[in-house]
Order: sequence, then structure tokens, then C-alpha cells
Amino acid sequence: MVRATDREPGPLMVEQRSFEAFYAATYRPLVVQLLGVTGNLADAEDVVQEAFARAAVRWRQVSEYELPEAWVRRVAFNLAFSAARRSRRFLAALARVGPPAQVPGMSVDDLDLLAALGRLPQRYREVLVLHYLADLPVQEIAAELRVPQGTVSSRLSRGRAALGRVLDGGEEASHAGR
Amino acid sequence: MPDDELTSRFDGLRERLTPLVEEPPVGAIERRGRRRQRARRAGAALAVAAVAGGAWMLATATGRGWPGGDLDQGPVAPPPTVPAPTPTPTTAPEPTRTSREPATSSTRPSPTTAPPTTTTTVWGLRILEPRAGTVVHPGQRVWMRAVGCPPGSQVRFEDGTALRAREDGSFTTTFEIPPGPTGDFFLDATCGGVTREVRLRREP
Repeated sequence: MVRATDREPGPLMVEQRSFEAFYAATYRPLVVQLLGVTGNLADAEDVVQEAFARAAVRWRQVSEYELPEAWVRRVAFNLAFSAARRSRRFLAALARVGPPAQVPGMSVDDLDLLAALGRLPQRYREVLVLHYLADLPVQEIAAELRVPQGTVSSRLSRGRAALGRVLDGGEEASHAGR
Repeated sequence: MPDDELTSRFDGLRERLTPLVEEPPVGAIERRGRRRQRARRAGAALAVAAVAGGAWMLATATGRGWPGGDLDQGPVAPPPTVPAPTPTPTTAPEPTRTSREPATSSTRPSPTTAPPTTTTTVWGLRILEPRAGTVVHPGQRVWMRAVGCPPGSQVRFEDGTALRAREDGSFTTTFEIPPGPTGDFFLDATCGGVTREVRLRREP
């Protein structure tokens, strides 16, 4: 396959323009969603940018998906969880001290919520973020995670309960596996 | 925790944070993607080189010679099969024996008994034309020539136009430089999962 790429409009640039539009529309919401996974803005930005970079070089294929945003989010989630698996000690420290307050507009409640999310196992954090931050219904979460809807409902219910316990001062192991 | 309360807290978090996230230019993201792709290609090339080096060392150690010929002189897209050269019979020197040693037959296999080897084909995509840094103008027809794609590859332009496969194994086409401002832009060629790009410069 041969393709010419350019940043300016031209006969071969339709795809490029649509990637720019897609990027402009979805970058910020995805960073906020990933912030719920990583608990850290810099890490969230890094994994989302990496996911977009991967989408950019194969945009022709990704743009044909029904939901390109879901593909980018899946890649970003995988990157975030892989990085977390590689740095258990960082996660442990994060659970102890909470996420760094590097965003001026974040309230104490926001920080508490992110820190509490960070203490949850991955399987709960994932569905809570998709449901509450990405606004996805159970059916779409099930499709995105490729698990039965009942599993999503169950994880949502248990995740809510676990999050409530952590916010009330309880402890939850963030590395309890999937 | 009640669902309504949780919904409210997450909604607040989202509304406060979304405007605060700074979005880098899309060009930076695209450059990051291209850098990553180049790094992956380099890694793959390194792996191929490591495997080739290992095979060469193994071949040297077993005395069979290098089946792929001289790497420095090999074509980018070598012909699929080259018959193995006929090995030249060699005469192994008679091992020196002391008077106390019994005369035994050598168990070392003769080089002439080594099984025939096959040629390893290594494909490497290269864009020969246009050359990097070529100055082009909007509307200009540019000839492109790439080599290193396996026979039968699907080589097409973005608009579906098929590139012509030539008898010498190269793929060629002409394309028109789209209008736009002065500056660099890229032409990418991909085949067999390998992508190469060449940077051109557009001037009025």
C-alpha cells in the first residue's frame, strides 16, 4: 500500500482531516477517563497520547471501526494497566499518599475519589470508569470488555460497594488481580 | 454508596477536569506515531540481523558455509531460489598418529557430505524514487518507485489505484502533488507490514 500524507487539505487528505477531527473531539474526555485508571494526570496523558499515536499510523484501519474511540480507549487502558503491573511499588505509594495534586482545578473531593479508585482492583476500576466517566451503559461496557452483561452488572455493584468502603476510610487492595 | 451520589461526584470530577486538560497539537501525536513505527522497524531489523548473525556463526562453527552468500552484495529483493553451489571435494589431511595409537577411522563428517542448503530470502522495502528532500510543486506529476516487496503484494494508492508491478520486481506509479503551503510532507509506502517514508518538500 502506498499513501501520501500531508497536513494540508488535498485530494489525498480526507483521512487526515477526519483523524484531526476525531482527535480534537475525543482527546480530553479520554484523558479524564484514563485519569480514573491511572490516578495521575501525567500518566493519563501519556497513555492516551500513545494510544492516539498508534491510531494515527493505522488510521485507515481504525477509522473503519464502528467506534474508533473504543479502540483508542482499549489501547490506553491496556497501556495503563500494563504500566501499573510493571510498577507495583508506584501503585502502592499512590495508594498510600494519593495522586499528586498537579491539576489546579481539582478539589479535595476529586482527589479523594481518584485515590479511592486507585485502591480498587482493576476489574472494578475499569467498569466504574467506563460507566461513570465514559457514560457507557452496561450493554456497551460488556461489548467493549467482551464479557457478559451480568458480569459487568456484578462488577459495577461490587465496585460501587468497594469504592464506598474506601471513601469511608476502609482499605481495598488495588492489585487483587482481575 | 448510593448510585446517585456516585454519579454526581463523577460528573463533577469530569466537568471540572475536562476543560483543564491541555491537548497537544495533532502533529506532535502523528510524529510520535511515526517515531514509534520507525523504532519498531529498527527493532525488527535488529532482530533479523541477530538471527542472521546467529545463523552465520552456526554455519561457520559447523563448517557448512553461509547459505545466503555475501550479505554485502545481496540484492534488496533477491530472487526466490538460487541453487546451492556444488561443493568442491576436499581432501581432509591425514590425522597425525603416534605409534602407540591404534589406527581408527575418523568419525568427523567430511564437508562433502553436508546436506544441500537453501537460500534465505530477506525482503526489505525501499523507496528509490523520489529521493528524500526532493523539491516538488503543486500539480506536478511525480514518479515513484519502490523495491523490496514480495511478488504478488498488493500495492495500491490511497484512492485505490493499483501500482504497476514491473518485471524487475519493483512497483511504480505516478501521483500528483496536492496543493498546499510550502513545507515538508511525507510519502509512505507499506508492504508486508513494513513501512518506509520519504520526506518531500513542496514549494510554490
